[in-house]
Amino acid sequence: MSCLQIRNLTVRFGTASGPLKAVDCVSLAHEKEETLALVGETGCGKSMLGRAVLKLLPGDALVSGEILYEGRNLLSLSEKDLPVIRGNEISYVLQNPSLALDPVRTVGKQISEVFHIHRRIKIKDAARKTDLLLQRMGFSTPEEIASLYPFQLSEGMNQRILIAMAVALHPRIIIADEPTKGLDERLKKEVIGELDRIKKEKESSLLLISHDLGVARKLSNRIAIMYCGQIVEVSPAADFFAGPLHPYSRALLESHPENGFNPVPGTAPSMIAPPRGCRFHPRCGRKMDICAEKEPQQYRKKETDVKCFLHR
Amino acid sequence: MLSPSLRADEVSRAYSSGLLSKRKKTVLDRVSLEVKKGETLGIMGESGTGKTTLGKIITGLEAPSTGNVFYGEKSLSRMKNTERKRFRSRVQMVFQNPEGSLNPRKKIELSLNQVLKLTGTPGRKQKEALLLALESVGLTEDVLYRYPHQLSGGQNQRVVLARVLFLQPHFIVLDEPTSALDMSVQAQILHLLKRLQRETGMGYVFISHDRSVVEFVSDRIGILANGRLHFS
Repeated sequence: MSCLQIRNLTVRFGTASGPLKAVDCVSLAHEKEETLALVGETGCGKSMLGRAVLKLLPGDALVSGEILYEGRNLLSLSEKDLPVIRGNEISYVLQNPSLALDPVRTVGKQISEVFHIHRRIKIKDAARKTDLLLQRMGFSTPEEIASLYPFQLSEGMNQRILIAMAVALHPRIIIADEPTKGLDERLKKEVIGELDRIKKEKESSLLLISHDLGVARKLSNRIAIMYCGQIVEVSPAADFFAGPLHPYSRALLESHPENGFNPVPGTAPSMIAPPRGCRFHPRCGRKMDICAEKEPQQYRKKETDVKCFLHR
Repeated sequence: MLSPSLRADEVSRAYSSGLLSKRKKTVLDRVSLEVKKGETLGIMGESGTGKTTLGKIITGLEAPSTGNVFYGEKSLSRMKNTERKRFRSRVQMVFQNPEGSLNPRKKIELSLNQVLKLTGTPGRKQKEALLLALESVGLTEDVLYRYPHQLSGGQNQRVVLARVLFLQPHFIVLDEPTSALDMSVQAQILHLLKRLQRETGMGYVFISHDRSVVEFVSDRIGILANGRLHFS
């Protein structure tokens, strides 16, 4: 059963060189209690898609389509109605914790604000709840941690603070945007473990946005691959890692350390003037004549949806 | 002195904190290493173990508390200004975040030209030199007319490498050069670094927390833990 339905979502920006489509007619269903990993290279539009769910896009973004949550289209909600959804029902773990946290306020104050604003809990009680939450997040001295500023904590600890803020109100959906980017192996493992534990404990659904297929493999039930603003493959995680269908998915998997760091040939195309036909065809080793002429539709193969003429 | 080595001899670095009661924290404790031209020495360690500090010390960007860095037979602390200038061009550093290494207000052409002028390349040959450098790192002329924010992380890191290559360095200290990049772009940059090393014979000190990356590029690996560097 879907808890979030994205239908024909398009996010555009006006630029001096013409309109830029960061998300181009994307449809995706996020099932209840599942972890769906949205994977792709930097700049392919995955963060824009995640941010669109909570209307956290830059002011100049032009958005069309539907994002359905419990029968309501989130895109049509006003700023006044959104705080009921944001944090309470759907929360967002922003990427880059050092920039996402306020540098001049202690992390304790930033967490307790969540309780204070959303649940109208008195500041003193909110601070107590914050300590409990920090303890649950694995901090052995929560009061001390709460009194520190972000610069006094490591990147991994700050990432856990952001996760604490995101799960404070037990949301039904957590959107985690690159939660492990730039972290070393030990911290990465810590954050992955934390997300997995919380998701299971709270029976939440997790939309994991990442460029790292290794992280997606450890956490997700399904994988959605995004390329140049479009979803090119959606597949159960086990099937994906056994053999992805789209040539881009294969190339992405080949670039991973265990497969010998084989780079995806060429560079990602401009999103202002994307290639005609299949957007991956200029970099594809298996392209056919039709790929440069016509845009492929989504084809169904067993449980996988793939946007490629090879699977017509 | 055709191919001098880059050597750190018993280098230590301690920082003090606190206004009244000075607390001392030793980040590096008598670290020694040597890298020769054409080889890659990998330095691995978790975040906060002093990898970047070590990189800055061997490139002369930071002074050690005790110990010495040698380029060939000459100690960095005893170099005259002219020798130090030459050392700076011969031993370069590439940082983790390419966007932070490029001036956001200047187009790539200007960022590259500033370094090219230092090499004494005559004005009429500058464009040609720019294009050659871009070609060597797999970029085309159109990036010259863009700002860093208009390029991807991988493209910016290539620009940084092109800028470093103008100075024809003998050694490059690469501090987490791929950790801010995607897996696919990371693979491209690693292959590019290997090709450049084959073509120019440069020596690399490759700093990273990522074991698989360090193992892929390095001839020898040192692990930094508790301030000490251990070789396997």
